Amino acid sequence: MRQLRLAVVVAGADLRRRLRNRSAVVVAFIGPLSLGVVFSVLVGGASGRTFEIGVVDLDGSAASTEFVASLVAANAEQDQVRFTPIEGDGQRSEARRRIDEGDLGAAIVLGQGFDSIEVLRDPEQPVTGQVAESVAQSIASGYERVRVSVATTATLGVTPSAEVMAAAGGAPPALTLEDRAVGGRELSPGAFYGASMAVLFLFFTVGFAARSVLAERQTGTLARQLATPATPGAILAGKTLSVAVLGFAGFVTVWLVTSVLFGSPWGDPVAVVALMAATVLAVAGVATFVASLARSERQADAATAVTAFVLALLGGNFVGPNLPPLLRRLSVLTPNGWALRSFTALNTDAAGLREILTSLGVLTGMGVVFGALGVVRVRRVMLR
Amino acid sequence: MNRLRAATAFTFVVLRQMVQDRTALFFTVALPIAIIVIIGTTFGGEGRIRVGLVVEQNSDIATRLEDRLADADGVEVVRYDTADELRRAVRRFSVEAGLVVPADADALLAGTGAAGIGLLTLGASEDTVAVRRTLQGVIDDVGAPLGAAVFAATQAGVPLDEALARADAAADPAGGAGGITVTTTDVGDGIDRNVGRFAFTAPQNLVLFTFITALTSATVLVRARRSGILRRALASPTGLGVQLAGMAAGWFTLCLLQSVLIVMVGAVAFGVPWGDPVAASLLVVTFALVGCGAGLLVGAIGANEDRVGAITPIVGMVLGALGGCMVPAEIFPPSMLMVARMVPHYWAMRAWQSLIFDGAGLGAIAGDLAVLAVAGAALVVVATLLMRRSLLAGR
Repeated sequence: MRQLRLAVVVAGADLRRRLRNRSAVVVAFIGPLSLGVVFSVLVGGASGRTFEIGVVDLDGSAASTEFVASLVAANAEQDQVRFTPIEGDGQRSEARRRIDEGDLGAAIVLGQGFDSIEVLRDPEQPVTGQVAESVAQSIASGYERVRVSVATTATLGVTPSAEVMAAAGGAPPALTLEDRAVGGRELSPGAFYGASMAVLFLFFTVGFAARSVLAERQTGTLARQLATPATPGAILAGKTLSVAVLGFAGFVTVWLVTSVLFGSPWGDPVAVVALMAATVLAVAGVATFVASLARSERQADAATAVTAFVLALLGGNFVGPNLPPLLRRLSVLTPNGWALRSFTALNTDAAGLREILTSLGVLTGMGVVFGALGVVRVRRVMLR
Repeated sequence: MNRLRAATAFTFVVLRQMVQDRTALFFTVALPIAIIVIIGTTFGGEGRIRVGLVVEQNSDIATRLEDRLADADGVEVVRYDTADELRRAVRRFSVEAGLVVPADADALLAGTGAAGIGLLTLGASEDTVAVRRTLQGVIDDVGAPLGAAVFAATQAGVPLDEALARADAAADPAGGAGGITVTTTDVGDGIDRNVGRFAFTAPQNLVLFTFITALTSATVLVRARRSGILRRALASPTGLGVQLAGMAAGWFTLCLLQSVLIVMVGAVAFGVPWGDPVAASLLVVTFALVGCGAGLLVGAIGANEDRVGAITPIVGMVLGALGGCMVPAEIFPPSMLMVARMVPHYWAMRAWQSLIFDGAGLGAIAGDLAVLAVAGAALVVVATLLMRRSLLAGR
């Protein structure tokens, strides 16, 4: 009981010192907030973009003209893809020129005889290219449908007259995509990048504990602390408690500010707080372990920074919620990956406290295992 | 001559300190290259789309769709048992889109001549539009023989099954002879070029990290200044001017070395086509000047090492993000584009994109180079004046 009280005293003293040193405030509060906000504004603003696709008709037949007209007519129904017909002599060169100049992201060129379609795309705009390619694929499929319709009808004894061809062309598609409601809430970039940057900066905040032991050993203040009735365990617990409080406070600040600023809550508050606590614990464990491997404060600084960035890279902090397959697998090995996946699920209402219990368990487990290893090592350093 | 030697010696001191510091090496060389590799490998290519699929009841349509999805380039299919599970997966970003084949799909087709496949997507981001279009292409492809069969069955008055068997026989599975072939060509300043997947991320990280390193390594300067080492050096015969010149040369060389290293690794290991060598070299040099000026400025005004160490990486990342090093500036909202223009990174990225993607020459990026050169020179002059003042005042 007495040691617990001493640990709290150490924590209080440590926390006061950290708050006086403005760099801790920068790392805990200003860093994650500013990066979270910048990312959210940049990525959030990106959704309103329109794909500009040119259409060149080198065939000039009735069928191809009709296709071009139907594409342009579709402009009115969709905001995000706009087709622009390019006419006159040298249309293909004109399309290339406009892609070069950035007016268009891609162009669909209907070939002479309408037996080929070429997609011209700007390598700087791969997504527009992808959209243009699938539009071309749909045109090809539509053509194929008419061709197979006429051929099949012919095998059933119906003469392929002009009327039959026209009717085949005008027949509605047999398969259509029907939008269904996904429900829940759309992921807010503010919530995702807020959480993402908060997790990244946690490494630096909670890494302070083990580092400060090394620093105090170098300056000799550690020996003086050990001369007091406080045991090494209580001193270490106090230091860890102080940085955990700082890290948690930073996390909560980012949560509140991004929620208010972007008008999007992160999800069920109880689950969010539980997840934050588990994340702080996991990161504290890993950071303490990493710092405990170092021999000097400088080495600990370096090891923490390198670990923070490597885990952030593998965990998807810089990538966004939609991880590519390789990263999806690697992210499971990092506390960042577990935390971000659950923050995303909470934010979109895809999960509540019950659904994130596995994540909470894994994060807590990581914290306890790495933390225990780290504490054993740091204690040894203290008593050396 | 002596002065030159003294300035060079100062440059070497700066560089030696950086090379001996293994963390600094990690951040200057290993981290940028790791990011180029990770982001390049996962995003630079055509990209794989993960599509969730729910088949409420086995049917002919479901089998056709599954087969077509399995063949589709860049599509990975994940099966779910119920539409609810799929909904949750879409919301959690476990898959980018979901398709639901309803239990009565075959019956609907036979009865009404059309069947709907449920599509679950989230939001209206550009990725969603691309995924949606890709799936529309798949559905149109699967639907082609089905539509033909429905049409033929109506025209000839035969059962749908019989018409479908004939339509499948008439359809060309390869989409080749008889059908329309679809080809893709990349367009760049009059020449068709297939730039690699790393061509997007390599310049972004080159610009981002050159600047971050210049800023963060300024802790060395702050330490030297605050501890009085620089002031003591003033007592030596070299003089203030030589010292300042040595510092500037040191930071400039540091930025230059890091840039050259990233450019070389990018070109050799990942085949990044950096473009016209003269223009690219000038771009590297002018941006190194900007980095040098910014580093010196931090060294001149930094209050203490701790704070500089904490703040500079954040400033570097924020400026990098604003300048288009993380999200391309083309997709910035207009208001942010105004902000981006105030950041040197923006001009450097613009120039790199012209060089790499458009095959542009020196003339095309002259404006960007001029902006960078003026910004760099201004930063160096201001930083040198401030450094001179603080050294003379003993701060």
